[in-house]
Amino acid sequence: MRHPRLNAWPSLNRLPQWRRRWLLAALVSGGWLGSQARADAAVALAKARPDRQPRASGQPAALRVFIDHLIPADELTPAASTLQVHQRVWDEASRDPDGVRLVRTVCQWLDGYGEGFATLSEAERETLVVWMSTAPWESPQRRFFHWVRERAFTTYYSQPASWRGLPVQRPPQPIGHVLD
Amino acid sequence: MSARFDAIVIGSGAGGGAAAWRLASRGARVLVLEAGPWFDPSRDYGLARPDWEVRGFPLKPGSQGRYTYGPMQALEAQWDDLRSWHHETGPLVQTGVREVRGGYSHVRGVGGSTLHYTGEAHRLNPHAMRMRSQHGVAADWPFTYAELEPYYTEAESLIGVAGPQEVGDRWRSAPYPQPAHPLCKASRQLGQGAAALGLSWTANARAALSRPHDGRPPCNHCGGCNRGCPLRDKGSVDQTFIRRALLTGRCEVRARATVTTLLHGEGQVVRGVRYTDEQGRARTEHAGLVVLSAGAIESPRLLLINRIGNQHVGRHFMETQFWTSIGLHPEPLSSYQGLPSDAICWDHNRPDAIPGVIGGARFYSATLEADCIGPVSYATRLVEGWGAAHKQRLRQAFGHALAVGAIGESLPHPGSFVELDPSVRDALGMPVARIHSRLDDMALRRLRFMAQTCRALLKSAGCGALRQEFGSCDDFAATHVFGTCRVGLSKDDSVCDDGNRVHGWGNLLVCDGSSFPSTGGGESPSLTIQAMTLRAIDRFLASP
Repeated sequence: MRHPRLNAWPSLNRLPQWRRRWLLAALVSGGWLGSQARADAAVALAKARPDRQPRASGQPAALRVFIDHLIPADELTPAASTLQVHQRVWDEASRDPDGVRLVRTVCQWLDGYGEGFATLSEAERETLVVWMSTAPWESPQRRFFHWVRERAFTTYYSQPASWRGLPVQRPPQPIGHVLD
Repeated sequence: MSARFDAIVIGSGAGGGAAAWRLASRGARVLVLEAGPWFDPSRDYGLARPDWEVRGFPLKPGSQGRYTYGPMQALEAQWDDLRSWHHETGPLVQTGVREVRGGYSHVRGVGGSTLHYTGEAHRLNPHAMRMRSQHGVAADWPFTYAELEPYYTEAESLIGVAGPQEVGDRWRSAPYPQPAHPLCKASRQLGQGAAALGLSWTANARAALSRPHDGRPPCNHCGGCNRGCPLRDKGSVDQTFIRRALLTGRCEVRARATVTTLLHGEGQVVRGVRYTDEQGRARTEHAGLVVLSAGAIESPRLLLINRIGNQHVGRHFMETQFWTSIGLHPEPLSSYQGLPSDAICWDHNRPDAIPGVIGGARFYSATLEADCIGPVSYATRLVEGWGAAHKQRLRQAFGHALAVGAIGESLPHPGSFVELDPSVRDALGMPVARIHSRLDDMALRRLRFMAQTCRALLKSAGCGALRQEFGSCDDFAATHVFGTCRVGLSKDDSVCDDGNRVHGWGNLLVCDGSSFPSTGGGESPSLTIQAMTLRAIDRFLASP
């Protein structure tokens, strides 16, 4: 048998659309960070500084920083941006108006912190990412987190430069495997 | 008018390929009309490319059909332990209704869905062929295992099936033509878990060569069968039956040829077919025999569109009842190596083998089939988190994945059927098939046994916390589909007779998964489709 669909993305299509629910979701989220989120989200769209506004067709700067936070360089492999992961994720998002809207909205929200997401410390960025990873599914932050995580990891690990340190560093064919 | 062909075969999958080969080998001039394209294993399959993992089985224009689905059933809390879930994203269906996440998984192309199949080459359990008379469900097969056995042997020989010496319930007149593949390390680990539970665990019969055969090389255990085999060792129908049919010089395959009409007059005789070719032109061919092998969704659709067959066309739809549990083992198992589904447990395959449930199941090593094979899958599905720690965890976890799968009997349900969608049409203006599926309590109890056994086997093999599970309870996802033109002795409960002829139609055969009166206890169906088709063609050719 061939399993037709193996990803970890849940079916949500009977839930209210995020476009109508994301502010509500931020409002009902609890805790200190929830307060931060709802306060900052409320002002992000209205008060984002002009120099942080995304260009009409340009990639939001926070996207690259966010993806590099998920996939930083280490002693064996490069950061995601070195492999142009952010550009390919943006290209993919750009194929769908909802994707563009999601990425822009959440990147604007990210840039609402401090002087912009890129200026935050590692620990501050981590705090935001942790919150996004557990936010309600109705919120754009949660959807953005999982969508970007899945797409970024997929793009990154489909490039041989990311395979150093793994027991196999080549495609399955043409050599195949000698069984252990 | 003199027809250029003696027979027209519609579809080139397991049934169509076998029909074409048998007819051409017996001297008939055969035309195969396939709605999908040709696939070139060297050019189209991506297992040698750097981005191999993000390439599933390739999509080509025309290689997917269009289907709609009827409303799915509400999910009941009593079956919550059977919901699909992932260790990070939680329930994969976050609604109260069964979803169509996977849908009808198929390939339209020369070779049909065998192009992307794993390649299990199973004989049906003889105990599962009398479901009506012995268990009061489904329908009896109108012929016996003994009648199919020589055809199984012949199909296995042509394909080059590699299988074990143990025969179990499925007696054989000859051993498998090739020795079984060695179990990979991950499957050996699962075997230890099975033994601790008192379960048997044996080499699976596989349509993948363990020795060179018929100009094809042996498998090199890359694990990527479902992405399309560039080596050509996998016994997909394009590399076996169709290739051998073409070698006779009497078979022609026309790809991207979509049949729209079965031509017939007042009498119940099909004179030929009308189809649309790859340039979009309407064409007609005539022949004395038409074999319909378009699968359990498309075959009834074509009969319904052409108003052929009785009230059972499209009814008795049976699907793939499946469950998969995935975990990470603390020890490195190199589980990216090997042949998918290389090991199997048949202990609960008989229809009375699961306590309190009618209809059996089988369990198998599912790590590679569940796509736990490359770094993308580990990064996105198996290893939690992000950042530098995620990279470290991925390197430590790679090769540790283990998955156990189960496929069980699917029984007919009045709410499971295929019909013509009243409002949706395909590019040629024909109604598309609408698929209806219902699971009853019996099906869900069987599924619970399957899930519990998969979990127990993983735990017994030493796996820690599970990472992901998915199954039929909340997700309609079917590769194996059956029953919608079933064979039987009486037109009162079947579409075709015991020679696969549509009741009352002397020269129209249906040879594919739609012919099955019952599914068996999780057996993969392609080998049975092939054996049944060889038998049906022989019977037709022998008829006056």
